Amino acid sequence: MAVLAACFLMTGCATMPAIEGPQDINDPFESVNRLSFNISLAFDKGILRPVAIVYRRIIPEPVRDSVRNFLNNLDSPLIFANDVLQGETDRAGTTLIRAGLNTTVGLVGLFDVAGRMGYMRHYEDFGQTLAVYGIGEGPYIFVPLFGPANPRDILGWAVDLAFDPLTYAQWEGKIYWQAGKVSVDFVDLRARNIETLDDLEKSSLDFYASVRSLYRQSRNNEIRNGATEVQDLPDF
Amino acid sequence: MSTLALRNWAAAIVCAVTFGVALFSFAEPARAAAANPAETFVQENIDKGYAILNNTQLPDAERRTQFRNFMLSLTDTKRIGAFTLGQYANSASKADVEAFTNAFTDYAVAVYESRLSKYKGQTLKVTGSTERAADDVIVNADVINPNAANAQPFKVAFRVRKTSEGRPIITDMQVEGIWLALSQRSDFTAFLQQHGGNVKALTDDLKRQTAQLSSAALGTQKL
Repeated sequence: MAVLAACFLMTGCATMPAIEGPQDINDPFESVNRLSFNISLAFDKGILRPVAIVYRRIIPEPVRDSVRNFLNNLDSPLIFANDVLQGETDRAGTTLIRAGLNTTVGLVGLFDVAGRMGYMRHYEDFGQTLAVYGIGEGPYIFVPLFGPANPRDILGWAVDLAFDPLTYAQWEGKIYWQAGKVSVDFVDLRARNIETLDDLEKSSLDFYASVRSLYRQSRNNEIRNGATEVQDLPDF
Repeated sequence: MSTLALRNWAAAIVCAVTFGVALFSFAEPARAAAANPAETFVQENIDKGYAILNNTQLPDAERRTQFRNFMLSLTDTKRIGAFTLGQYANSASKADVEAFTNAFTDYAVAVYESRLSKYKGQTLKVTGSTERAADDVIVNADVINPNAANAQPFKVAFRVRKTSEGRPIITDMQVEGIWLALSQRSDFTAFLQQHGGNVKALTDDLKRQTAQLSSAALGTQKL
């Protein structure tokens, strides 16, 4: 997988600008991607969405929010490292303050105390750092069960995983902890997007294409930290 | 790996509902002192839409009609419609494009109406603008949710251009980095690609979709 990603990445690097306009489709493996999308959708409809609905019904909102805060806080080292790698010192400072406050006063991250004080959360990962460094995204890839991606993001996930201190920490029952964390993260995120996804599917003629477009635009938005790149817009 | 992957995925999809909510999340009166004409245009008109939405005195049907007329006067659905056809606009007949544009207008209104019930008193505040060309201004705004004062406001932008008569008009709208017309074009051109570029088929499908959205919206209203 990593080798494959690296291959795409290098070709992407040679031929594409850092942030492509959202206009081009960039999906040479569309038929495989569509298959993968449909498999994922079946899994979602059959398992993930129903579980998310039950989860949302039986777990009270404050508890779900604390679960989310706790999981978010675990990402702090990763966000901080990527803030620094991108030279975003102000944002790195915010991440540091957030981690410090939320881990202590916020009881190991269960409460987003820092957010209430105005230190709002932002997210970074190594895929975004690569983009900031001028690496092209490569072709669109829908990873089964994981969602939309591209070689740059896949390489980014691998690097982030390698840099995460928790990857190397060893303790008894770690495998259960990890499986639990991933499952809860999936279910909680899905529960937060039930109506959003339902609406998107209902108003799309081609759900696959809508997701592809939203992913690429939203990812570029994250890379630019929310700044609008007006000159990239199409003329019409 | 999975956690991060999912996060990206979720970030990408979280915007869909906000399309609807944002357009209905109209705002406080314009009060920025040095706002340019495009900024004032956005703020004032969003206020108007807000007033229609909040006018619970009006019968439901009347409120919908008013909102529809308001939306159509504010956005250039013809230009947006043609844009969303992508390269297929060139090969289709004039009549087909026109039929599509009409269907697209109904569809756009239906999409927004189906989300009317999601409006929860959010307000919109114009924060600034960027000029892309003399007749092409991107107006930025924050949507503030009064029910979650601590939450980060989400960012929207409107692309304001001019009609042939020189009247300002909205041609696209962005929510958290996602441009609506761009996404729509992606959806439609994908459909056309799968249907041999048949604009008529797209028009029929849009009509079917519109009917479904409308009946679903009526169902929600009754609840």
